[in-house]
Amino acid sequence: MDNELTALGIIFTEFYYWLTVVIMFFIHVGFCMYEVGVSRHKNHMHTLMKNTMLIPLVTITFFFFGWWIYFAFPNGPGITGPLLGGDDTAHAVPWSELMGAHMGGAGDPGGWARINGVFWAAFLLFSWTAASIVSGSVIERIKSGAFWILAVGIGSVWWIIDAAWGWHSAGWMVQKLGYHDAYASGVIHAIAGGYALGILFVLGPRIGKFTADGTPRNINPRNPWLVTLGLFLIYTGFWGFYVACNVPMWDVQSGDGVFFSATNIYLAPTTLSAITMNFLMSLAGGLLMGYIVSRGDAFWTYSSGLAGIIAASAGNDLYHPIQAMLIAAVGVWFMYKMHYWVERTFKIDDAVGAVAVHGYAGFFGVVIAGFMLWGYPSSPDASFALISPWGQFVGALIMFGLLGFLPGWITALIINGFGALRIPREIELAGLDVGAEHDRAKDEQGIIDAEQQEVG
Amino acid sequence: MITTSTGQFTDFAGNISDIGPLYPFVGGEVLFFLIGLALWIVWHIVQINIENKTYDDEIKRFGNKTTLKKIIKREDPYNP
Repeated sequence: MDNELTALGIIFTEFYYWLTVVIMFFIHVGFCMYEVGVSRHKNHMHTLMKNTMLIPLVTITFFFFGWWIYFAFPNGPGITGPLLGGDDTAHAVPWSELMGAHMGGAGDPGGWARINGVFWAAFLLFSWTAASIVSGSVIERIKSGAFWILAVGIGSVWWIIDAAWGWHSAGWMVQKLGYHDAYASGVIHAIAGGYALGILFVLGPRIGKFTADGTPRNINPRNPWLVTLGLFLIYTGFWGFYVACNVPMWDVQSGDGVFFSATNIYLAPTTLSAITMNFLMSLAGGLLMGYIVSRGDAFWTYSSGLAGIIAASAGNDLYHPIQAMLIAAVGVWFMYKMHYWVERTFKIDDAVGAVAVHGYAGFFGVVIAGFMLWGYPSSPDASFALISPWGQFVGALIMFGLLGFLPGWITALIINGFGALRIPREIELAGLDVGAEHDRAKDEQGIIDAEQQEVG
Repeated sequence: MITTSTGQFTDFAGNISDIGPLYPFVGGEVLFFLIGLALWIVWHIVQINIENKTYDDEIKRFGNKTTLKKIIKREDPYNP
């Protein structure tokens, strides 16, 4: 910060990430509205609280250990890097001076003082998103306490391990598999969808979801307008998500000279123009296919817009916009068909279709990027593996299965073993808000009685 | 002149980057971490107890067959 140009670059980057955090906040507002809109009246307040309280819990645990995981685990299973005290993790341990307000200087050899907080916050908002994706699928029958433990698991442990493996510029999956997932088809969406599916297998469906012969019944969204608004807000916040996955200004020239560009998360060049066009074209492709495949159902059409973006996200730093649109459309068809096939076959009650929109579309997105970007460099580092269909397929399995489904299923099994996963049958029938609603009615009656007495 | 301070500096003279951390009680970070960690775990324990007690109370108040039938009927859009 000793000359104006350096200061401008640093403060611009700091402000850039700060802005992404503010925009990404809309994702969470949207998720809250969406979940409440889908839930039945008797469960509204609990549904809202279940989602809202993941914010503080994931925030503090991401401070305590999530951020450290990202820098401690890029080398992967069994070959982890310097876990504590090394240069790579020094700024990210919760007792680091650089985790608070800091002016840099000798205590900050890595230059993290300005960027650490906003970068941490951008990743934290990804963490909320991962946990919030899971939240929707389990509504109306999971105990809040159980969900919040599971939310900390996906938000502050599992997704950030996968980010260390497949998103960190030195992650082992990037090095060995050529894994490419620029806007998190797998790193956020497939893993969260897989985690939700693992929980749903243990949690079971809501009462009444299936007939005695196993035919699924529709439990339709109770407030389609709230769902609509919620999904629009998630789209809005997704802009911030995309931009937060970029580095705004970086010297990408590998030989002589200097060439500044925006980069993707792997520090490989892209442009904000490219990702803006691709975001919108994949949104459009998703909406167009969603409308057709669901025969104009509003809930699925809106969800398909989101699924379209997710299906194209792995390669949206490099795709042509029309490719992004087509990939989105095919991804939406795939996730919609998968949702109903899994529902019928395994009797899975995914209340908001989160496993489909995020899990199946994300899995598809990672795999298709392997074919579309076959032979492309996965990183500016020429020693890393090139992008390939098999590298992407193995990567998708790791994201959805190994780090998503498996931990979700095992954690849910353990919690269920303590009888702490599912709410009692009577509460599910009466509604989670039954006590609060009754007390509120009593309060209102008290006021009405007092007012009538006043009239005389 | 009072010289007591919870921070490492009492003015902004000299090289600003030499100040380093701006927050008070520098050196107590491990303790802050342990306090935060303990509060997080305690929060979960307290919350789970509250939630279970609430369900027990509500089952006593609303869990009998007649009351449940009445409540479910209220949710029925065809019988408002």
